[in-house]
Amino acid sequence: MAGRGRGGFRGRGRGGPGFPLAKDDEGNVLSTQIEGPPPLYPELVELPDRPAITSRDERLLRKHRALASFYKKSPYYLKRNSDSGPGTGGVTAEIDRLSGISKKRREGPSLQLSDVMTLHPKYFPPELYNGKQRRTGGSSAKQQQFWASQQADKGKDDQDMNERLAKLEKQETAASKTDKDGKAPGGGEKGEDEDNEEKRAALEDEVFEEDDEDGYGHDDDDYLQGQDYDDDEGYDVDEGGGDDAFY
Amino acid sequence: MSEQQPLHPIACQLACLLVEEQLGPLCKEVCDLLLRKETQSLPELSRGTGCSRFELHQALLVLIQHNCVQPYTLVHDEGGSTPAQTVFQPDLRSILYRFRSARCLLHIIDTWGHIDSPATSKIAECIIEGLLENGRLTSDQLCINVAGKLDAGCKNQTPHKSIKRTLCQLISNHYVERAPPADLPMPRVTVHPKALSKRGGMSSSAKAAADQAENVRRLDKVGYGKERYRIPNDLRLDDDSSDCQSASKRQKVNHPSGTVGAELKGAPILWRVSFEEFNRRFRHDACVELIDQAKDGKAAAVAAAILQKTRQFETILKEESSQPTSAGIIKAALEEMKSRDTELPDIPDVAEALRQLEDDDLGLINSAPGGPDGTTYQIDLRFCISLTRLKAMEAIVRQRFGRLGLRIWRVLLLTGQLEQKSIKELALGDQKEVRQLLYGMLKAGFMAVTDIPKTADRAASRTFYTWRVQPESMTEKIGIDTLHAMFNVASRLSVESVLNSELLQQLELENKAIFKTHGQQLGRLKVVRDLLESSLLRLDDTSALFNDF
Repeated sequence: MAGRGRGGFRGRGRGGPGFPLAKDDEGNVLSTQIEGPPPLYPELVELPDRPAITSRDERLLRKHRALASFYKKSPYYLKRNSDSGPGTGGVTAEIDRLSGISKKRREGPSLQLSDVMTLHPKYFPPELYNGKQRRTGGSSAKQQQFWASQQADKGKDDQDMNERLAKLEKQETAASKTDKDGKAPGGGEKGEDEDNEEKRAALEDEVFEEDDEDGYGHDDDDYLQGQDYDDDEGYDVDEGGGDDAFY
Repeated sequence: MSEQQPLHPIACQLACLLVEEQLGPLCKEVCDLLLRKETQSLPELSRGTGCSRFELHQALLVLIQHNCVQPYTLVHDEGGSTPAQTVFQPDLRSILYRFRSARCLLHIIDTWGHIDSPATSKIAECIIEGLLENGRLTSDQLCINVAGKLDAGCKNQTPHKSIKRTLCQLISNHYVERAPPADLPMPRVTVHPKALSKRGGMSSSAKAAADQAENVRRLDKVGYGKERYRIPNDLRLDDDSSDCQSASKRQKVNHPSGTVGAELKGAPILWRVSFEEFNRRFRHDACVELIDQAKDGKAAAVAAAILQKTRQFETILKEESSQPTSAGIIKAALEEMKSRDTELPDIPDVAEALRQLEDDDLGLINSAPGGPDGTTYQIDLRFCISLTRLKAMEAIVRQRFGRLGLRIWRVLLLTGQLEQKSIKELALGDQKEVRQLLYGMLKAGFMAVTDIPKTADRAASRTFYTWRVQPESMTEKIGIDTLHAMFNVASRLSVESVLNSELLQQLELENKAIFKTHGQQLGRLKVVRDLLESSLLRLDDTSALFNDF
């Protein structure tokens, strides 16, 4: 009772900080002061090495991609009707839409599910299809045609992207070689300088070939000079009108 | 057909991603709803998805065709006026097994020589491929599909007889099974015992009636279980060399009356790939690989022979151990394997090799004396798989927490529960570092902490905290983490495809100009795709080890 009044605090320990302290398992006080702003970027983590792709992985990838390609082109791949509107199919669909070539004409009539599936009440609840769609087994001509077309496409799809790139590169190299060799089919010994000049010319051709195709020209084209180029054009033209206000 | 098991959210998300990639956005929408709600009828699905009636029916047909959804007949009351209703339930495991399709094809290519002549390896591969592509097919459809694949560009036509013979081989080896009918009873929902006691007990008579009704309905399911691998008469061939006849004799069963065993007149038989059997083979391969690493190639060959002979007697995927087999039968199996695969090592004394395996401290093979054929041997499959998992866990702990973390983990695995100070002394680590690693592993779910208070107030200063490793919970955690990683990788792959969709379209059209302008980008895309897809398939191998075996 005596300690409750003025001397109330004295019995409770002196020199305490007055706020809770964080301590670790050994009783050491942990620092809770904020030492400046948080770092802008997290610490650099040492990323693991890129895994090597073994021959088994390549075999697995080939089979996996063949199956994925089959599903995409099969009638089992269903889209919602709202997904086939304008602006949803990418560049190819837009080209088809604007040029008037319909997808059906390009790819042929699409297959129905009932053409490729055996719809029997034993395996599929009858409420999911009508009597017209029901098939009791056996292969239809459309089903065989579908499998034959898938097998034909498989030959193309088996080409990995790398092979396609290599094929395109080969075609491109052959095409560019034909253009150059058409002018100088012989060879003979050429000096080193001539070789360097040729290489430089080939590089320039490579860089500016697109421009040539588009008809933009070479050095005297203002578009290649950059945004700070001042061609001194358009300042001295007197457009007339005097000092009248322009509306 | 397994009992209903709880669906983890990340597994559901991964399944939806896979369905969208392979079967389209419409099927993904329906599958998403089913995975969230688990069992839905047709009106409920129509309300939940918002699709038109036609679209919903199409999506359900495709999902059933590809074994992603299974229809069941729900009987509300026995002998009542309410008609039976068809409900649809997603089969999450079947959906996730689709990641393993490529691995199944490679397994057939690599191991068909042990089952039949290598000449029919291509036919077997095409049969499995045709079933994976189309989900379910009749035998006639399969013959035409396979003949079309084999004869593409060839003048000679593959006779349907050889295709049917190979199909019989696949069925007798359980790689191919009959598709389940649509009128099976729903699988039993496992209720926690505490929930049962909380609900209050039914009266004994009502409970007995319900159990009897349940048993009657379950006859159909048992009937399908026995019919799964039965080869029908029209598929059975008359040649003596075929194994179909012996397989059909082994599988002859009595059909219970009034059940699914009595086939409907004129009903076709749809065949599908049995992922359960493929998983069983992969599980056995994992056990053989472990024994090969622990001992040598000869021990692995003996183990492979035991598993090949006893595989037919396994009824569930996660068998505890193989059937007991005598040394004579194992020797005969080894000779048969050697005749098909000359690369197998020669084992002159099989009994001695078995005795050496048994004497090993690991305890991978157990023996039992007596019996008419002498001492019998069996492989402890559960122990083999748990050892394989432990090795994988060690690799994960080492990669994430370093060598000290692995040392701490091993110390706790061997000793059980320990305090932090004892761990520091045994693991030879710094106090601060050990504490950081312990809390890091606790956060990752690899450790568990138990507090043992000295006083009733459970004050921290007067409480012992002990650490321990729980392999079972760690297995579950790693399994979920693997699925999560697969989802992340698959999402990234999908994003890369979407970002580069225009480029891929131009590549499809073989536009030469894109090579010059976007050659570097295409090269980068190719590398990224290869890495992501191969990582996805490797993660599926890890997921199989922790979730399915």
